Amino acid sequence: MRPVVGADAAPGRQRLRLAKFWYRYSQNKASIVGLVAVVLIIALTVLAPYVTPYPEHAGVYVNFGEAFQPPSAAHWFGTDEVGRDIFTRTIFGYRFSLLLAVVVLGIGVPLGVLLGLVAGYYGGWVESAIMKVTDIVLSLPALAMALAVSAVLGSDLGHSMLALAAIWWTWHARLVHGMVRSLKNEEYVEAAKVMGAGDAHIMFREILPNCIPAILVKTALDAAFVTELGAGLSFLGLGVRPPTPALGTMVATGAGYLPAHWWMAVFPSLAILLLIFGLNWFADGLRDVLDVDL
Amino acid sequence: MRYLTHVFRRTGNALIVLVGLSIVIFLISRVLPGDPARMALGPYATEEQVRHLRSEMGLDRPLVVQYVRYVSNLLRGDFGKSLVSERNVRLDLEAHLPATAELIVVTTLWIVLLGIPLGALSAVKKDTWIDHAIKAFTFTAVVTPGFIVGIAFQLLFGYGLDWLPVTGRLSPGVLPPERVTGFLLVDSALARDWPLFRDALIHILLPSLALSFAGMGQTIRITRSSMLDVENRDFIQVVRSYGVPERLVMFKYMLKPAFIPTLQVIGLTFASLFGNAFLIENVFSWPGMAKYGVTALLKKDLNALIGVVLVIGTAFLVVNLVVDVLMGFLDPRLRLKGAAR
Amino acid sequence: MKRFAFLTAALLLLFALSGAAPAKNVVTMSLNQEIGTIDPAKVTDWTEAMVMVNLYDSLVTPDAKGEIQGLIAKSWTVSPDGKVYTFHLNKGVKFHDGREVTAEDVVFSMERVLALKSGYSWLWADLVAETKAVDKYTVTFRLNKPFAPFLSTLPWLAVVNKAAILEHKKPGNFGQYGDYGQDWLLKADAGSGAYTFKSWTRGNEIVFAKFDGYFKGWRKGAIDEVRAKEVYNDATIIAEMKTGALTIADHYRALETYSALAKMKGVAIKKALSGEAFYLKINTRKAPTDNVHVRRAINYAFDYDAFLQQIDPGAEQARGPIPATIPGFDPTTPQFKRDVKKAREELAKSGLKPDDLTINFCYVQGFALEEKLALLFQANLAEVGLKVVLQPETWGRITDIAAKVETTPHVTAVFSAANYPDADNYLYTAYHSDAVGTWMSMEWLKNPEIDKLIETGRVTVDPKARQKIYSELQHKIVELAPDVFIYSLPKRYAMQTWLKGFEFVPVMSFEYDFHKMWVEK
Repeated sequence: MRPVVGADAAPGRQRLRLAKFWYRYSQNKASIVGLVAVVLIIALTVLAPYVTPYPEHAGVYVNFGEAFQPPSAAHWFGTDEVGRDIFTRTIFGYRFSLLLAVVVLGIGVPLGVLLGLVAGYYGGWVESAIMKVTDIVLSLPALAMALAVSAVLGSDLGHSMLALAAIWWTWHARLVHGMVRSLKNEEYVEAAKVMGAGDAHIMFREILPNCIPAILVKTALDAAFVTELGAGLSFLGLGVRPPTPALGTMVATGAGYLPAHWWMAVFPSLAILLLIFGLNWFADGLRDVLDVDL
Repeated sequence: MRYLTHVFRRTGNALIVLVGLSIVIFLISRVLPGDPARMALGPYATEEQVRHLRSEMGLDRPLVVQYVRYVSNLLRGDFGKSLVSERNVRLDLEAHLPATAELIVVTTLWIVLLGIPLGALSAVKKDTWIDHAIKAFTFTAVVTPGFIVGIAFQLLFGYGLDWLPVTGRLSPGVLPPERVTGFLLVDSALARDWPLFRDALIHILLPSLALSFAGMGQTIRITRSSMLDVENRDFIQVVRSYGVPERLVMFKYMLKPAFIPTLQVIGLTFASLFGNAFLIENVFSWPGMAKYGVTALLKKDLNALIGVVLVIGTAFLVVNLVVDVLMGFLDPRLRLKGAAR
Repeated sequence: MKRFAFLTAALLLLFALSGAAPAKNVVTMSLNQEIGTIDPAKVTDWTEAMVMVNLYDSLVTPDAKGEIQGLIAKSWTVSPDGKVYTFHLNKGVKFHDGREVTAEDVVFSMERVLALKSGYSWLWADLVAETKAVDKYTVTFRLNKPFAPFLSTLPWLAVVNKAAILEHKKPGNFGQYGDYGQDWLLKADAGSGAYTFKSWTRGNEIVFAKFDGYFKGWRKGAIDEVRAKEVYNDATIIAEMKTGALTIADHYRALETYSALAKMKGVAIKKALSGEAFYLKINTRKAPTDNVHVRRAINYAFDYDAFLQQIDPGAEQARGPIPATIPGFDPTTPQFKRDVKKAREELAKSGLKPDDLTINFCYVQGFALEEKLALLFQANLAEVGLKVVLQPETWGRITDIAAKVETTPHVTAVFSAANYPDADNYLYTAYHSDAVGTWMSMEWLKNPEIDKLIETGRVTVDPKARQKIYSELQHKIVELAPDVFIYSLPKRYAMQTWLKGFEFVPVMSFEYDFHKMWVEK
C-alpha cells in the first residue's frame, strides 16, 4: 500500500479527479438518492423557520382546540396532543438529530483515532490499557450507558451528547488500532524511522493518511448509527427539553396514542427512517469512491 | 497445547474486563443523584431513620471498603438487598432474567432459522430478483431502529389485522405455569398445558421478531458473502466437475465453511440484542430486565442497578468467550492469530 | 308421570346451565405497577396498600367520607389531655389460622412497625411512647404529646398475628424476635382480613381467596377470589374489559382509555374526587419567586379552565391547600382565577425588570399529564411576560433537588396523596418551617404565624376549635400564594356492571376493599 494523499497542484487534474469521484459515486442509484435525501434534510433543517407552515409550533405554543387532528391539507402530518403541527415539528426535530451526530462524532472520532493510533503504534502496556478500557466500554449496551450517564447528570441535550461521545471513541479506537498494527510494519514506515523521523511525524504524517478513507466511511455510517441511538435515547425521554421537538420523543408520545391517533407516531418514524436510509446510502457511495472495505 | 493457551488467555482477558466493569458500574452507581437511603424511606422519614439505614447499607464507609464488601458478597451469590422490592437482588434477577432471556433466545432462533437460509438463498440465486429482494430486506432490517420495527408490528399485526396481542408475556388473568426454567414456552410445554403454550407463543412472536431484525440482517449479509467467497474457491469447482449434485455442493461444501463467520456475527449481535431489548421491552411492556433496570435507575436502587449491568455484561462476555473458543476450535488459523497478538 | 319427567328435564337443564357446582365469583383487577412487598409494615404505595387492606384488618378504618369507624376495635376513648387512647376490641375476631385477635397482637404489631422503621412507621416513630395490653380485649397507646390526627393514622396499623410470626421467625437483628418474620411475610400473610393470601407471582399477579371465618360475615354474592394483575398497556385494558377477562380497570389509566371504556356495554365508570392534591409548588425563598407579587402574577396568569376542560376534564379547581374531600376543608377559601390584566399589574408591583423574570418549571419526565400542563403553563406565563424554562426530571432527582433551597426549582408540579384523612396531613408537611427539605415542602415557606397555627391545630382535640384554626390557615396560605392550587385528582375506575358495592374512600387504596363488594349477574 502507498500513501494515497499527495498534493495535486494542478487545478485541472483536481477537476478531473472530482469528475472521476462523481462518476464512481453515481454508478449506484441508491447513493444518489441518499445524497439527495441528506442534502434535502440539511437544507430543510437550516431553512426550517421559512419552509414550515407553523414555525411557532416548534416553540412555546399550545392550542388544545386543535389537538389530535388527523392529516389534512392544513396539517400534512396531523397535530399532536396539544394541537401543534407535526410536520413543522418533524422538520425542526431533524435539528436535534443532526446536531447530535455532528457533536458526538466531532468529539468521539478524533479522540478514538488518537487513542487508536497511540495504542497501535506504541504497543505494550499503553496498548493493553487503552484496549482493555475499550473492551469494557464496548461490553455494555451503548444505550444503557447513555441512560446511566444521563441519570447521573440529569437529562439534557449536552449530557446526552457527552454520554454518546464517551462511548463513541471506542469504535474508532478499535478500527484505527487494527489498521495501525498492520501498517506500522510497512516498508515506508520503516524507511521513515531509519531516516530519523519522530513518533509524531510517523503517526500523523505516514500512518494516519492511510487510515483516513476508512475513517471517513466509518464516520458516515456512524452518523446513521448515532441518529438511530439518538432516536432511541429521546424515545426513552432523554435528550432535548420540551417544547423543543425531537423525533424519538415524538414517536414515544405518539406510541401512547396508538392506534387511534396513529399519525403521531408514524410520521416522525418515517422521518427517522428517511435520515438513516439516506445516510447509509450516502456512506455506501462514499465507500465505492474511496474504495474502502469495511 | 496452543489451543489451551488460547482458551486460557481469552478467559483471563474476559475476567479482567469483568472486574473493570464491576468497578466502573460501582462508581457510576455511587455518584447517581439522590440519597438511596432517603429514597427508600420516603419523604417523612426522620433523620435518625435515614442514618440508621445508611449505616445498615454501609453507605457511610469509604468507597474502597464498600467495593470490597460488595465484591465479597457478590462472590457468595449475594447481590445485596433491593430498596424497592425489599429482598435480595438475586431473587429479583431470577424473576426478571427469564423473561429477557426467553425473548433473546427466541430472537436468536429467528436469526439463525431465518437469517442463514435467507442468506444462502440469496447467494444461490445471486443477481436474480430473489437476491435483490432479500438484499433490500436485509438493508432495511439492519438500519431500521428496533423500536420503530416494534411499533410498525404493533400497528400492523396487533391493532390493524388484530392477529396477535401487542403487550405482555401472557393474557391478563392467565396464570403462568409452574416454574421450572422460567421460560414460559418451556414450562408450559413441560406441564403439557397447550392453551397456555399457545398464549405464551403468540405473545412472544412480535417482540422477538422485532428484536431479531438487526441481527437477522447481519446474518443474511455474512452468510451470503461468505458463501460467495467459498464458491469462487477452486475446490468447489473441482467438486462440481466431479458431478456432485448441486444441492450437496451447496449444503456440504458451501454452507458449512460459511458457517464460521456467521457464528461470529451471531455472537457479536448478542450485545446489541441486550441494548435493543431495552427499547423493545419498553414498546411491548415486556416484564424483563430492561424494565427492572430502568425502574432501578429511576428509583436509585443501587444494588439492583449494579446487578442488572453485571448480568448483562457477564452474559455478553461469556457469549463472546464461547464464540471465541469455538472459532479457535473450528478454524485453527484464528487461534494462531490470537496467539500472535 | 309426565309431570315428573318434565320436572326432571327442567332440573337437568338448570344443572347444565349453572354447571354442576355453583360457580366461583372471581374478580380480576389491573395494577399499573409492580407490588414491591406484601409485608404490612412496609407498605408505601397504592398496590401494596391494596394488598394490606384486603389481607389485614386494623383497629379502625375510614369510611366514604374519610371519617374513622371501628373495625377490630368496637369502641375507644381519649383521655382529657389528648395523650392516652384506649381501644376496646371486638371479641371473636379470628386470624386466618384460627387464633383469636387479642390486645397482645395489637401491641406486637405496633412494636414491629416501629422496630422495622419502614413503611408508615414515620407516623408513630416520635409519637407513640408506649403501647400496652390492659387485658385480653383492651389496649392503650400513650403519646409523647397530644396529636389530634392520631386516630386518622391508625388505619395504617395492620394487626398481625404474633404467635404465627414468632413460629416462623428466622435469625435476625431483633433479639428474641429474630427477623420479626420479615422473610416469612413475603410468602404468606399473618392477618385477620377478609381475604387470605393464595399466590403471588412477582411482577405479574397476586391472588387472594375469601376467608370464610371472617368476623363480619359474608353477604350473598360475595367475591370468592380476587386476582390483581399488572397490565401496562391501555390497549390491553380496553381489550380485556371488552372480553370480560378484566373486572376492574384501576385508576391510573389515560383519560382516553376511560372514554373508550365508557362507551362499552356492560362497563360502568365510577368517578370520585380524591384526596390526591395536584399543586404547583413555588419556591418562596429564591428570586424572583420570593416576591409575593410574582407568585400572585403566576396564579393569575395560569389558565385553570384550559386545564380543567382540555387536559383533565371533569374536575373542579381547588380552593386552597386542603382538598374538598378531606375533613377540615373550608369551602369559603378564596381562589385565583385567570386574569391577564391583574397578572401584569402584579408583575409591575413586583418592581422587577423583565430580565429578572425567568423561572424554571420542573415536572416528572415522561408523565403525559404533567407534560401537557408544562406546555400550557409555559404558554400562559409567556403571555404576561414571564419566561419559563422547562425542566423535566426523574422522580428520584426531584426528591434530591428538593433538599436545598438553591437547587429547588422555582416551580415544581407535585401530586401529594393523603396519608391519613386529616387537614394536618396537608399543612404540616408542606408549610411548617421544620418540615422543609423534602418534595412535600418545595415551597420552603418560613412564616412564624403559619407555624404557630399549624402547631396549635395539632394539639387541639376539640373539633370545632380545630376547624376554626384550619379555616384561618387556609385563608392565610392562599394570600401568600406559595402554590398554584390546581385541583384534587379526579379518580376514575372502570368496572363491569355486575360488580356491585364499590365505594370511594379518600384514603389510598381503601376503596379496593373487596369485602364491601358483591356480584350480581
